[in-house]
Amino acid sequence: MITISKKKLFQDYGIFMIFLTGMFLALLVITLLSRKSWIEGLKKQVATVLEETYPGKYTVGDYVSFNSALNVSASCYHLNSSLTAGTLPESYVLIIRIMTIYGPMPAVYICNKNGSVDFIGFTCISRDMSDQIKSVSMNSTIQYWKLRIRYMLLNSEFGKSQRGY
Amino acid sequence: MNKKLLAYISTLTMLIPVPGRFAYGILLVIVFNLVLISETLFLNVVKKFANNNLQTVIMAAFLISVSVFIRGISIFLFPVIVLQLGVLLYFPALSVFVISVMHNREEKSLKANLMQNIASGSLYSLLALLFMFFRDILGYGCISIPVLNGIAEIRFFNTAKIPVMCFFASLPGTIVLSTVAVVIFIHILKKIEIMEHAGVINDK
Repeated sequence: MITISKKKLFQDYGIFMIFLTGMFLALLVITLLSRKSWIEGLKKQVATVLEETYPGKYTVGDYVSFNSALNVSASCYHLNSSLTAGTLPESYVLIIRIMTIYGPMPAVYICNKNGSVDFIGFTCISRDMSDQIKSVSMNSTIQYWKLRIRYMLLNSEFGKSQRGY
Repeated sequence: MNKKLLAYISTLTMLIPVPGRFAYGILLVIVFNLVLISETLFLNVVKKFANNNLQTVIMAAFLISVSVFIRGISIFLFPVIVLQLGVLLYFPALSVFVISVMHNREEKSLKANLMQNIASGSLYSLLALLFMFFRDILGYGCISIPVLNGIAEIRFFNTAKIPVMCFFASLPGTIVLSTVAVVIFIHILKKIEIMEHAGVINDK
């Protein structure tokens, strides 16, 4: 019969727990530090797509936190008007990863104050290929995410003002 | 041959759901090699203090942690690529785990294990990069490289106007290409095996 001393057992599992705690802390620090780069980097991408589609019409505002599990695969911002100077009331622009037949793509959507959601385009891809993927996915994935984003935002702070409570 | 083939397929599998851009191939290959080397180094440390029961759990936790850590670092450089790849950035850890389980490295020294992993990792990385290179050329008609906050492209032709080429950019097209890549790899392995038997090359 194999016997393991209690001291050895505590030592092994003690080291294991210290190791897990150390790793957890390191991951927590890197996740918190990278948060700002995540928000600012994606904001630049959104601004690029908006400028390509509507030159000089919109600017991207502050980051908006929304209560959803999709937070890790999306980023939402206030939408500002370049023409009237200032934040458009209850309008948002959102970059989100959607799955297409060409693999996952970062897509940009605008959510207007009346609750309608419009697809703007894909980032990190040439205009020709973006149009090609759009034509293939418009009636399936893009449409699905329009509804999903609307539902998601209606359940967040934005939705409260839409519903009036 | 079977182990080499399985390791190759395992490396290739991590690239199939990824959009067919060379830039993403470069990033995933870097992650793959970083995870592979850190796994080899850490396994050597773990063997000294943890018993056999804990080793697998610690290694699994370590591989996940390294992947999350690399993801965190990548966000500083390429946030949009990290958004796009999502969980696919953890696939190299899975490939490394499969390769690590297949190779019995109990009796070898750290240096020997490290050299073996760097050699095999380089071979699989090269094949993976070639695979992504052809996917980018055939599917998108360009070569892409990761740059700060996005990707840069060197365009050769417009594939959006050629429907057959667009097929290779899609995931079904990738499965066709990966099958071709596996068949070519099997053919090469067979040739090497014949040469080994004939004594033309020595694998020892």
